[in-house]
Amino acid sequence: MSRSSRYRRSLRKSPDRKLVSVIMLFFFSAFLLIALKGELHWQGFVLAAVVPALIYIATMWLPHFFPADKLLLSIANFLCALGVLVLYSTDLIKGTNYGMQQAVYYGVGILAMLVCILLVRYIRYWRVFIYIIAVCAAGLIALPLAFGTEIYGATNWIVVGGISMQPSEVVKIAFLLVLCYFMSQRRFWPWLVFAVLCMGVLMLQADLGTALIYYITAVMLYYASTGNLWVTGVGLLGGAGSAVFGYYKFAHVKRRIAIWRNPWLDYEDSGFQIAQMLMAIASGGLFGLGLGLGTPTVIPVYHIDAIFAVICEQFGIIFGALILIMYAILILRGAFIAHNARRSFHGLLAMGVTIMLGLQTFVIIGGVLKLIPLTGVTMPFVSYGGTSLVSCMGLIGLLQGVASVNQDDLKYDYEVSHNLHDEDSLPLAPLD
Amino acid sequence: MPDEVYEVIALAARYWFLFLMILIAWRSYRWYTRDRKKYKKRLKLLPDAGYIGELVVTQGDDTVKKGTCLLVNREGVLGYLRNNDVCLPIDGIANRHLWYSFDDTDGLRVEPLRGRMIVADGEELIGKHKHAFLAHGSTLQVGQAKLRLRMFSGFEYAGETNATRMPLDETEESPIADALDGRPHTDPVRRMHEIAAWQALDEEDAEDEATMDFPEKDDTYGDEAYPPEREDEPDRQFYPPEMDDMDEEDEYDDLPPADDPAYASYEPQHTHPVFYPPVMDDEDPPQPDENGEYPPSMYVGNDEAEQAKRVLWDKYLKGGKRK
Repeated sequence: MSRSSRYRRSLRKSPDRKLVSVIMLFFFSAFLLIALKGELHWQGFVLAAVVPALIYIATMWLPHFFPADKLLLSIANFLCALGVLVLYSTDLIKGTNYGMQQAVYYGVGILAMLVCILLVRYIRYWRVFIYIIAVCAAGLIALPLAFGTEIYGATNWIVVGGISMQPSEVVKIAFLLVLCYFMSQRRFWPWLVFAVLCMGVLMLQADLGTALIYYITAVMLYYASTGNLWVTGVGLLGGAGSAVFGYYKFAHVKRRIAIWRNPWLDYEDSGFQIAQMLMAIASGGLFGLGLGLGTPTVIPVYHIDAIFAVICEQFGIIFGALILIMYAILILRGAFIAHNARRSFHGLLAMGVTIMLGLQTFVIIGGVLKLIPLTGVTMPFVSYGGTSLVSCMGLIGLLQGVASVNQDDLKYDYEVSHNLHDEDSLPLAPLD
Repeated sequence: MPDEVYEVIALAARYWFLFLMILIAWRSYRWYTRDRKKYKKRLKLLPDAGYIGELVVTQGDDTVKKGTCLLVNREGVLGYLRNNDVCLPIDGIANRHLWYSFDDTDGLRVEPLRGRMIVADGEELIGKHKHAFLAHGSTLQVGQAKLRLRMFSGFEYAGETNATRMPLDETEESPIADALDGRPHTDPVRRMHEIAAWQALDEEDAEDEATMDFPEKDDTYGDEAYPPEREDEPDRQFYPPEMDDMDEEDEYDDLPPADDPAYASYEPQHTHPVFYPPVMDDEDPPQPDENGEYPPSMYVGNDEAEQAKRVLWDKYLKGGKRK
């Protein structure tokens, strides 16, 4: 066997190609199928070509420029593309245009991811940047208090020139950067001030789901940084106490808990969404009703909160369980990257991203499955929403940047330990 | 496409999508697990990966003895407890005593935590926000322990003072400019390359000096032998040492016949009794004398224990083979 044919064979056997080829095949066939529903939909054919191409670019082409974790990229891109597919399939039922918009956001998300990778990879000294980021983030998260629009009960949206955005989603990236920097420098007070400020503003905006995610992320980061179990326990107890206080103090919290316990009590009104989600999952059965079939649009806010129920209805419960496995692998991979980081800032950053994505997934899917009370957060990568998707891709970019630095470090160690001083074989200098 | 046809295709396609999804999940999982194993294997080949050096205990106690090496990573906490990055259970050391972080330029930054005291290179530091930088060979005193920092390869030049550094010469006229061209600009690696380049240069100079008296053969010497022969010295031939042991008239080359009386002088003269291994005694077992005692054995010695062994040997084994 010649050398070139062996090389080609090894390429075919490489795990990244094997996985990405299946993902591309999945979306190509799915978009092709949905494009044939009723009349021929040219948008479906375009998506059948564009989405696999985006997946290929983001997972196979981008890593040519820097070391990257292709598994992470593959999973994140798979979930993003799944969101586009499901939204496009519901568009054909209801006549909306969420799918194409989500595809555009997906492209923007890839750019955001690229920016975040470069930030983590090439910024050596964060000291100046962190203060700028902290001030900007504090201003941005407070903007809805002055110019905010109330959507779905929370005043956490701002509309600029017809484009609505959710600052709390964008601030997630800044929140993690600032917290991780201060904790890595062992400066507790700036860390506390920034965390309390962000959570206080979110509470004022009645964005309870996001506030919960911020809070638990901050506490877990504190534990990851200091290992102080007592303070962490006190923090968690404080959070639980606040939840109990909120239950007795605010009527809407009490109502939400009541709906969670028994949605059929007020099926026509407040319990309608949960009841419909449960019915959608049940009607999908093990194998689903088929792509583009069923009535998922009956569920209120099906494109944001209830997207997991829509997936289960169309593809089945087994498919839904496999989606959860994909999220689990994503989280495990994030923890693996965090564990292998050489610098505390990078380690905390990777751990923060992992915790935040994991929590968000748990909160929304747990809410859909009636495991916990439903809160209005998005399902990472899948739910409709430009800000959310771009923010999640940015978080993946941070994680990817840390993974990239880890690989550089390992290569550096290898070069130094093997005393390789050749110009071509020397790695990039390790970052600070 | 009519709705009925689409519905049939979509229902059939469910299984196709499920199959692909299972494949995606399985391949992702396999990739993840294989990657982890591969990473672990890679780390086994690089035992120093992630560590910048080690703290060698120069004064310890029974728990942590003198000479113990404690690996130091890039950032961490040194303290008494096991969950610290560097665990040093010695008297006078707090649970979490000091925080350290490595800087490529300045070396290992050590900062005592609140209310703790350390002595770094003779400088006493107490409390938070007081810090010092340690370089290769620096000493650190924490509680009752005295430690010396030893940086690993690639990091050993971090934190060196300018006075101890070799001259940094990056100008184009520098003899090592070519060697440094295109090298990475991280200080430790840079220093490593500089020193390697200087050493290479020194070796070249030394080689030149060594060969100065014996230049390459060229037309200067014409057809004469090279190196030129010296007339005042006789020809010298080199014999390897082992050949000097034997003369040309070596008597061993021509032995006298066996019946020649001179042959006796060539026979090997045994000054010691011949040793026979036990199996050879089978044919001629030792016999007791008139007192019933056996002669002293030639190979077991004359002490009583050995004698007893010999008696037992002859009594039960009849001086012969084991049955």
